[in-house]
Amino acid sequence: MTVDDSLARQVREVIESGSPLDEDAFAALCLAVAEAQGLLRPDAPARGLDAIEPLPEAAFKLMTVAHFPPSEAQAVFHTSGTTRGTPGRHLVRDASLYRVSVLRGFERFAMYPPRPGRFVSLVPAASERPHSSLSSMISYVLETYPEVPPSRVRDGDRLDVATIRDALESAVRAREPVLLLGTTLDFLTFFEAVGSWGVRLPPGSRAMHTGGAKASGRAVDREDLWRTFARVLGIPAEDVIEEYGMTELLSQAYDSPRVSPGPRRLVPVPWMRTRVLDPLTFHEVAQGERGLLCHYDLANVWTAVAILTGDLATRVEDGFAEVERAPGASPRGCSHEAAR
Amino acid sequence: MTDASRLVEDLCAAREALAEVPPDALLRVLREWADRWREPGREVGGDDLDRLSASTGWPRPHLVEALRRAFRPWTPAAIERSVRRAYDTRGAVPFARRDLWLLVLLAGRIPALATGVAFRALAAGVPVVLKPSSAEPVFCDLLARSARRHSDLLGGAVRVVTDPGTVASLLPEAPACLAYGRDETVARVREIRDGRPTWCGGHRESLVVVFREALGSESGAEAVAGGVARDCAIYDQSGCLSPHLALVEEGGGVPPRAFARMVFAHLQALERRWPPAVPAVEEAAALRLFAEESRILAALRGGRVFPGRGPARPLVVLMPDGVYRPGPGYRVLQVLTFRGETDFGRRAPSLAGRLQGLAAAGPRARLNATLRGAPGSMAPYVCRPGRLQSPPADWLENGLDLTAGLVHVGGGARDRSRVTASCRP
Repeated sequence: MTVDDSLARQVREVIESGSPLDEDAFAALCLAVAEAQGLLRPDAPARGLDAIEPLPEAAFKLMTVAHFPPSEAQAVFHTSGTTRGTPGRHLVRDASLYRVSVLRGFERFAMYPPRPGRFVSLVPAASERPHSSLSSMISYVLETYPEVPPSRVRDGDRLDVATIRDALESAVRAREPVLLLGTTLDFLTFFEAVGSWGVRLPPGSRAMHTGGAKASGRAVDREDLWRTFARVLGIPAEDVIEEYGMTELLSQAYDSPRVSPGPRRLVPVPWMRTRVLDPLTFHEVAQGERGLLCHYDLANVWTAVAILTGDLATRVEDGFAEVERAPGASPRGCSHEAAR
Repeated sequence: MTDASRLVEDLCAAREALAEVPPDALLRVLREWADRWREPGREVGGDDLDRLSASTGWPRPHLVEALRRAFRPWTPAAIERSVRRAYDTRGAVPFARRDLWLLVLLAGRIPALATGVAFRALAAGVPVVLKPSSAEPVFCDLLARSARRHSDLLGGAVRVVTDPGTVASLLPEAPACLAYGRDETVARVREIRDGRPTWCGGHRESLVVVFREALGSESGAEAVAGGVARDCAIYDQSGCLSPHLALVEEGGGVPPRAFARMVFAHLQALERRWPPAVPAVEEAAALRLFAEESRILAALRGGRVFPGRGPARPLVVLMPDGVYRPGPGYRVLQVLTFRGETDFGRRAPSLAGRLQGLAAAGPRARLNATLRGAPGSMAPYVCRPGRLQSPPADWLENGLDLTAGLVHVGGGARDRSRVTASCRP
């Protein structure tokens, strides 16, 4: 069995429906994809996700991961980490699948009511960074949702702080909730640049940051970050959303308290499962314990459905928290990309 | 009076006491002390062994082997050699400095590091203050307790300090200091010491070289593989004498791939004999990532990993045309191959000034010829595979003759003292 359009269609239907799959249905489809990709363990004792041998994220640096002719890739995303000077590459056979995955996930976790109509993105546009999966993701969002055209708030690698302030003050005057998008490092840079300036954005305003401070050389205390959003922009912690993504994945996880109440944690979109694995045994760890993140992303139907990351995290309820790069894993992350 | 100044006073008194003891008496005390540890379970009770096992992470059989290796070099003959050498070289001013003592900043969790320093210093009549590593604070405490139980002379001369404030007070003022640790740590120590006698042991590595002559027969290769595996397994590869890399010459009767498989089989067997510590999750993650990346690299570049899938340790990674990558430890050995002396120089990683031990299997002449072409692979300690983690008492750790250095300082030298030995095979 090989990856084909019919399997990809099944995956697309699941993503487009946006509905959660029960465990058995998810496992069955995931196993079908894994089998087509040759990722089933030959000695697998069970038929659940344990039967899948995840591909280490390093594989994307060391080889071409694609179940299609690489020349047919509609997009090529590069990782920010550079082991041996070579970035990892994720060849995307079907950019529309990434688009639908991004938009369904974003809709679910970031567009809860009251829906913001104004967007301010601190992320470089996809036209400027064609190999950035984050830039593509944000471009899809900006093509789809804003009611007011987004302002250009970047000047190359530099944030145009004055334009950001103008855009935010304009939202205040219009009394329209605004959604800010950026890397964690971008937001830290912005907060440092504005000094004592501040606004109280209209109720319903929110911010989505991504990348943490992975490899940016800065330690980010999330509670400090939430307090700063509240102090500078009037955005309460409940509306500060964190997005977790990887170049090697076409789906994301979100820490969105209004959608996933309870302890703060990153919850994957319904067509992705994330397990926290004991690095030595590969068994899922107990709640509250730490291990390596392993993502099972159906949207990766053309590459590798299961990816073992270099991220350590704590298993929390239906998601994970306290993500950090494992020693021995190459530094990376969206903030790292922005910091370069 | 502060804890630090009280301790310094005690140490000066201990130095006075050592100065008054005739060499034969010192010899006897040290021999008897070492003898008490021949069977570690006799000197420290079961509870203490459990405490030490928890602190080092090593299950009891592994721990007991580690303790044996800490004292095994200190045979009566070795102690006598050390003491005689120190006394013979003291000349006319053997104890010119009555205030001499040695502050030792330890690193890691290998007991042999602490015993090696303690015996060398005591043989030179110099009291020691051991500052254990935060990774393993229990052994030094047991050693000092044992010294007190054994004799007043040793009890006063083997002290332990853990309080950070006291360490900070002692560090700039200690008459002599020996610091182990990461390069940044020892650089900082040098800075603080500001020219006072200081010896440092930063990051060091060891490697194995196997010449084709040692792979002429299955039985010969098995013996070498067993030795390499023992050097890797003991202390879970956490010491500077733990090899992470073996360079294996092609052209022997047993090919490198078969040799790598043999090493792996021995490593597997040693899991039962010397059970490994359970790594912290960060260390386990590093192991897993290294194993999985190695498997991909091997598949892409004609290498081989034992085992090919599943466990992350023990692991033997054979990469005929690969390059050495810093490994995660915990019994992970990389095997690179070479063809002749010239090729060795091309394949061996650049470890000049960083190589602590070299275990070589094959004719001595081949080793000499090879090292002539690769001077960066000169090591202070050269031995057969299986002996890396059993150096003799008088081996020159970090190229340093500590006993001679202390005698030099004790004789009145107040300058920065570096007594080093050349590293000829």
